[in-house]
Amino acid sequence: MSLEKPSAPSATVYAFHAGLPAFLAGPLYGQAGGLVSAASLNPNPALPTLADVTAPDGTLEHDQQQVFVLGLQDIQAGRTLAAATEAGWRFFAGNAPGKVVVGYTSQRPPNATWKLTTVTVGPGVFSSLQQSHGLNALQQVKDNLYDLRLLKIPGLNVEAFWLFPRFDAPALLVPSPAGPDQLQEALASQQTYTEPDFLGIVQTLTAKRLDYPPQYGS
Amino acid sequence: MGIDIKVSNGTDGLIISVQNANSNSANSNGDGSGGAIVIGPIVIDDSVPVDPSSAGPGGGGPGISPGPGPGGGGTGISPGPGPGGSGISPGPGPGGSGISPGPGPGGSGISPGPGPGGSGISPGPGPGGGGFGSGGIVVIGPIVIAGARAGGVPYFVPSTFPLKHQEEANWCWAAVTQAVRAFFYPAALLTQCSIAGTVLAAEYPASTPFSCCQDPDQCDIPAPLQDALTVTNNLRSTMQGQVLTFEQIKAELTGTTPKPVCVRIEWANGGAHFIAIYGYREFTSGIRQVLVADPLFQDGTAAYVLYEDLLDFYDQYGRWSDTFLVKA
Repeated sequence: MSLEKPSAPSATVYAFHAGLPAFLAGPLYGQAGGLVSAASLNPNPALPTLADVTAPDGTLEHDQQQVFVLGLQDIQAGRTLAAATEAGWRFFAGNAPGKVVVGYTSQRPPNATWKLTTVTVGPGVFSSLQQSHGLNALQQVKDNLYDLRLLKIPGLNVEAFWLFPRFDAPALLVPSPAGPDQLQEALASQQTYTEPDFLGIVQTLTAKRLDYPPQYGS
Repeated sequence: MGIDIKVSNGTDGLIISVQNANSNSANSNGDGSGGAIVIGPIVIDDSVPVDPSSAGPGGGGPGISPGPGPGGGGTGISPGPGPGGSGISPGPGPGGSGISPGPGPGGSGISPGPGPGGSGISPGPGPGGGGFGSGGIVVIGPIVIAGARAGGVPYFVPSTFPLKHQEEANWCWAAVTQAVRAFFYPAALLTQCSIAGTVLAAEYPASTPFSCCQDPDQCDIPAPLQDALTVTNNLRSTMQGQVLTFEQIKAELTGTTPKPVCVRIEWANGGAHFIAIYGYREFTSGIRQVLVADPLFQDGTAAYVLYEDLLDFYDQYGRWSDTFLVKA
């Protein structure tokens, strides 16, 4: 058995490949054309070049994960992960510290075309990639066949790998923080949770979060 | 009068310290007060000539060590002779401002020297100038006099916006405020827990006293960013329900005193989060990107986001709801 990574639609793969050069260091920016102007109040993190994230033969290989989002009001209403909505895909390119990026694609209005909207760079990206690779060591993954998904609960600052079973097995959630540590201490990073256990924890966190005025940030 | 300049690596970037060699003399800043100078932002501008040698007469353009030429404008380190220009050690010629402007009329900066006009510290005789060296790539500038340090020795720091991870699940407001404060005053780094303690004590005066540095979990609760920025005296204005245009973002980032832009992200299904914009890029195709520091990220990690998607689709689920303009 193993962890499968469902194929992304060809249109979103194209959006990532075609759009990526515009988010990297120049001098060539692909469809973006030439750089007119730029400013930054911090030179770090340095942007990789296209050569940094491609194979020696120039091929742009990627590691994709479908992204789902679950909102606080859905959690508060007691809904399950079936209420999570498809937000798009994320694609990792590159495979070395400082030379890896992750791009997020989504279908955007007005004509619902796939578009690369964000590219994240820096040490946190390599850590996320390593965490996803580490999932293959889980005993449950060796015993069953799962699709790999990424679940985000933005209102709680929670991200978790969502191991979605292809056959009769329980879904698993593995918290994977975007930062260096698991901010919500009720969830242990890299530990596996069943869906009921995971939802029980985030329901408690959601109730606490929604106690505060909506204009407050977390 | 002499000035000792020391360059060292700081936690968040290069630190240039300037020490008046004669500490008993009047402060070297011309007006008798010390000053802090921020160097930045780092600008990449392909709209200026690419060939470093191409900007001669009539040129100008920012750059490191712009060379001679009568062209005006120019900002950078060691602009050569010619009118205009600002930066560190502008060469001879009128105009010019920065550190040790060359001899001649006009000019302002550190160490005003002989010659008419001039203010600041040692503007020397002669014209300042712009010149070649644009290179079309990297510019350090503009040079900004960011403030005075009463009775002290002037010091100089580059304006790097520090990216720090939020230390608690609900402390995005403390992390963003810490970064803004550290951007303007790098030498006086506040901790997130100290910011949290002050903000929450004001927010909940009837509660048990907060000891956020001793017990951060006790203080791990959401709060408004404007309250935290007010505590550090870095809030210029709160724009509820308003976003900035791309041009307004550029103006904040590249003005006389470059400033980050703080943003509230409202999630589609409940909750909110604070981030900061600290850079931008725009292309001939019309593509416009903003550089986002998100306190959820690991230190040193950042996101380039299409401007139009930051407005209503940040992190695939949030919209830009409120804006917080900051000040030094």
